[in-house]
Amino acid sequence: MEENDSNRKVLLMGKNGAGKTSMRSIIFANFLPKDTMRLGFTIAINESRIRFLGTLCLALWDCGGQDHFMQHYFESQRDTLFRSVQVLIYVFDIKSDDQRDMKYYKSCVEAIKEHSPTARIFVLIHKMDLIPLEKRSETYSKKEREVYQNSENLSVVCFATSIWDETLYLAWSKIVNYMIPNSEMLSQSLKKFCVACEADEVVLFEKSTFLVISSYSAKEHRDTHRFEKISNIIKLFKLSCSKAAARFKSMTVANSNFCAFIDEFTSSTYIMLVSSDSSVQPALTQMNIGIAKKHFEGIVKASTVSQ
Amino acid sequence: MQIALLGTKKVGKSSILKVVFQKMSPNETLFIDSTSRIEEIKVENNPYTKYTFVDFPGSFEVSQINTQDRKILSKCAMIIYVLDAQDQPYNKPLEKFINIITEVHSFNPDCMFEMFIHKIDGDMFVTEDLKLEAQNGVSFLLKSDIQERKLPEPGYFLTSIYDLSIFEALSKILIKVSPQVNYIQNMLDNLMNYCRIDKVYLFDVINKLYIATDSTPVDLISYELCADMIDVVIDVSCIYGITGNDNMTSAFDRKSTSVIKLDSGLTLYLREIEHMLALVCLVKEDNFDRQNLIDYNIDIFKDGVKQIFQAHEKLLKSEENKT
Repeated sequence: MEENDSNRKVLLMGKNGAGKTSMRSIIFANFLPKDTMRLGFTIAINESRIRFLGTLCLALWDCGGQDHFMQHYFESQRDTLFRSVQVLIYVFDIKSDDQRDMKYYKSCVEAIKEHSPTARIFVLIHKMDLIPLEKRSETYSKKEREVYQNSENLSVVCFATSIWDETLYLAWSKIVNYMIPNSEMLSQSLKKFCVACEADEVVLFEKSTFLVISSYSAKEHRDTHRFEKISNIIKLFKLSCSKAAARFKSMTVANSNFCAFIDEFTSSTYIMLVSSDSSVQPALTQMNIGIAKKHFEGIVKASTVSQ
Repeated sequence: MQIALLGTKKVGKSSILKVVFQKMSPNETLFIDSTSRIEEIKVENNPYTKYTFVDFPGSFEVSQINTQDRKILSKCAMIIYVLDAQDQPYNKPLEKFINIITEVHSFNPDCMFEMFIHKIDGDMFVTEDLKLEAQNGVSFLLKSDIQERKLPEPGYFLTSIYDLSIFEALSKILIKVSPQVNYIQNMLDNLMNYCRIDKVYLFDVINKLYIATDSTPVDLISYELCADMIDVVIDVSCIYGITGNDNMTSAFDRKSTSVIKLDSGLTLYLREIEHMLALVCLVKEDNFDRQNLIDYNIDIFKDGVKQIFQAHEKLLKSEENKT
């Protein structure tokens, strides 16, 4: 295909009001969840170029979901829109009963099958916070089944999301990680680093979005959602610092059971290192992080290049 | 230490208590019911500070005060009168406030009075000037009656549950009713000078009110930054710092500490002082190079605070025994 190899085309589609622009604003444009209330509807297609991990470039096509736009997408704009797509993200508003939603989804899947058969499809079942807690699992499973039935046998990954908690970060971390050509190299290097520092776990975050790029855990932990929770916590704190006209550089948090370091790492990443071993000197850990920076600068760059 | 909240109906008394002490989100307060009887909220998050807030129903009329109400009000160290700044004109509620001060002052002469000019948010109060205008207006309306009847002058606070102003106001009034805090303030001033710290707060970790601060003025931005730092520390400690089925109160333990460095050259330093009490310092990065020195001084401060509060407890007990 003629498209530049390092320009990954991501389609963000779904009926109007599903929450596409809100999500994109929180993850990539530093909006607070409550700020998204003042967003209007998206007119036609909003294309934004997002630089990720330094050299990776995402072309995010936020497609306004109003009915008359949707008609155009499947008719007059069909090839331009659905050609050379690497990822399709379709967003469903879990509270919406509109039958046309699933029809639009099916049309998207068909268009993708035709024009970008190698594309990956992610479905975000959004606004889960509006469903009472005890009904969430059931409501989500029902919708997920319906999505699979309408996916023309293509392999699709579903997520339950909400802008009010960490589930948004999990979904977008997975989506973005899919687009990193050589993330295996990163996790292997992180493993070596973790073992060398005698740490419990090491996590690599992208600098501006704080999405999880890679991680290695030497020790099991009971909370499987902890990484996206940390993304959410730090992102909110970053926004709070900007109110004080500052940005945070590094952070350590400790109590008698653990010590966590979060520090600027390479030019496009932050690293978090957690240790529960009190015999490991914090100053030594910080020194190790400093030494590893240069080494990882090269590794991160290499991971963004296709093999 | 008892503090009463009075004010006309729907003015926001219960919402204030719920947002600050019961972690309710400000948006949810739109749905709470009116208070029909007197409700008490006890605040005892750490061994040093114990308060009881008494939430009076909006229907309470001081002209129809009964013996039970009288008993409660006679034990109060302070009365906070909440005024809805968006409900103009203010004449009727202010008249009620004057009557309350008159009546309570007659049987409880030591009681302090504070006014919260509340709901000072939204389109009506977009600029600082508009807010100050409201405060000046209120104090002007009250002036003549207070002087005529020789009543104690109330303090004024501009508050809203949608930002930290209500937290700052409550922190300040709690300091007003706690005379022992003056000694702590002096110690904090000393700590500041010896360690070259720019600003320091002693925080209640659970409700994010500050028990004490140094004598430099409080600016909402630094207060908010410190409160957010506490959130980060608690949230991260709840993930990595607890074993098994422990809860939040064990996430913040004796060795809880945190350092956050900002690119503006400012460093935030948090240290646990007592159960659910944290000292948060704002230091310039250059001045933080002698962390050991700061830690040593903080340990001395820790002991000092303990002694002050223990002495205060003894004093209270001996006064109770006398009566």
